[in-house]
This record gives sequence, structure tokens and C-alpha cells, in this order.
Amino acid sequence: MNPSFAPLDPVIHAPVRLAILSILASVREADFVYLKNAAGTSDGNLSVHLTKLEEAGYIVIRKSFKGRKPSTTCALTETGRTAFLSYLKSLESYLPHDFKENPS
Amino acid sequence: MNEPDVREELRIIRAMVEKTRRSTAETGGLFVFWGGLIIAALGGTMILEHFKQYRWIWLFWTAVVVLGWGYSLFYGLKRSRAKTAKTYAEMATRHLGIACGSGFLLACFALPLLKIYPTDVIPVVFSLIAGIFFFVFGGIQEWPLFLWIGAAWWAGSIGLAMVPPQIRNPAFLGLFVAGYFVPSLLVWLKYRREQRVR
Repeated sequence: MNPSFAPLDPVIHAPVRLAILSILASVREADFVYLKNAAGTSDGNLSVHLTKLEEAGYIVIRKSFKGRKPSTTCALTETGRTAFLSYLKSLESYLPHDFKENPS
Repeated sequence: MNEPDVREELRIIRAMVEKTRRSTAETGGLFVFWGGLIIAALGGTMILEHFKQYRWIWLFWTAVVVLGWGYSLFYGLKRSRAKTAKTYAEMATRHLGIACGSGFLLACFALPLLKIYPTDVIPVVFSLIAGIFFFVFGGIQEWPLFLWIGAAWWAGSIGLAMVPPQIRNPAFLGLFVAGYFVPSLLVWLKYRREQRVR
């Protein structure tokens, strides 16, 4: 690996977990159903990824009831926000210098 | 990791942020409702004034306020239950709406009713609060047009203070349609357009 490339956080470096953090970085909180639909994944797969992110301290998961229905909401923690921003910074190091002028 | 992989990761991030932005966009439904209600109420007030039925005006506005707040409460609860993702902008907009709504209720209804100031001051006070609402709303949603609408309401409040009291209500109706109802429709149409793109 080129020494100028910054290492990528393995907790975030998976498409579903990256998608989850991208969503949570732009909202205050999102529920399980929203994350599942937006990330285009299954219940079981999403649960596995959410648990990994929670174990890393990147998100908090709250379980409650909306009326009689159980509801699971997720939110980014300060640690998660810092890790996500640092991941974005690391990604930048893999891109050519002219990327900002021509991002497409 | 090679460049196409990085581009794919960036595509995922962009897609998720964009999807979230669309699904949490302001619907404008409540704005349009209040706009229609106030225009109808202003029309009703002018009719009552024309027939010199002044004592009915307060009763009429009480009904309008109760209907408006009742529907707003119902709409807010319904939206809050249906929401699957909540944003900070949405939370700020809701608090702004409650703050300015309470301001309108006090300044344009309760205080004149308590005879703190005469009713012909209402359009001027309304314009001041509407200016605050649109300016802050434009800032939260990052819509420069609404910053200008906020400024237009403040200019309108000075204009309304300078015109004779007998033409203040029709002038206010014009300002309301241009500075409230049209922008509300714009928010609503923008939301509808974005939902169709999804």
C-alpha cells in the first residue's frame, strides 16, 4: 500500500455500515425501518451491522414503543461522528488531486 | 483500495444523504392550510365590516384560531408518528413554528382583545412576526428567497404603519397573498416535485 494512503476504519469500511453512518450523519435519529429501506438491506443483515456499529460506540440504539408497536431508533454518537469524518478524510487520500475539480 | 472503489463509496454516501434530504423535506402542507385559512378569515372580516357586524368579528376569529390550532396539533402529531427519520432542521422549524404561532396568537388576538392596543395595529404586528418567521425559516432551510421574503415583510410592516387605517386591511391582504400564500405554495410544490423524483 502506498504510504501516503491513510488507513480506512474497518468498522465503517463495509457498504451497509457506510450507508447507515451516512444517513445518521445527516439526521438527528432514524428508525430501523427507515434505515432498512434506505440502505436496501434485510432485517437480519441490518441488525448485524447495527450491532457492530453499536459495539464500536459509533451509534446508540434505543428501543421503545410507538403506541403498541415496538420501535427501534438509532442515532450517531460523538465518537461515531468523529470516526465518520475521519473516514471521509481518509477516503480523500485515495483520490487524485484533480478530483475536487471533476468529482463525477 | 483503488480509485473506482473510492468513487463507489462516495456514491453510496451521496445517495444516502440525498435520499434522507428528500424524505425529510418540509412538506409545506401546514403553511398552505394556514395561508388559505387566513385569506378566508380576512375575506370574512371584510364582509362583516361591510355589513357593520363588528361584534361578530372577534367570535369569527376565535373560531378561526381554534380551528387552525386544532388542525395544526392534529397534523403535527400525525406527522410525528409517521416520521421514521428526524432532522435537526425539522426540529428547529417546528420550534420556530410554535414560537411564531404563539406570537401571532398573543400579538394579533389576545393582546388586542385585552385592549392593550387597537385592532388596526394587528397587520403591522403580524408583518413583524411574519418577517422573523420567514427570515429564520430561510436560514434553516438554506433558501435565500425566504430571507428576502422575511425582509419584504419587515418593509411591509413599515408600509402598513404609514398607510391610512381604512386601507390597511386590503393592503395587508395583498401583502399576505404575495408574502405568505405564494411562498407556502412554492414550498408545497417543491416538496411534491421532489417526491415525484424519488
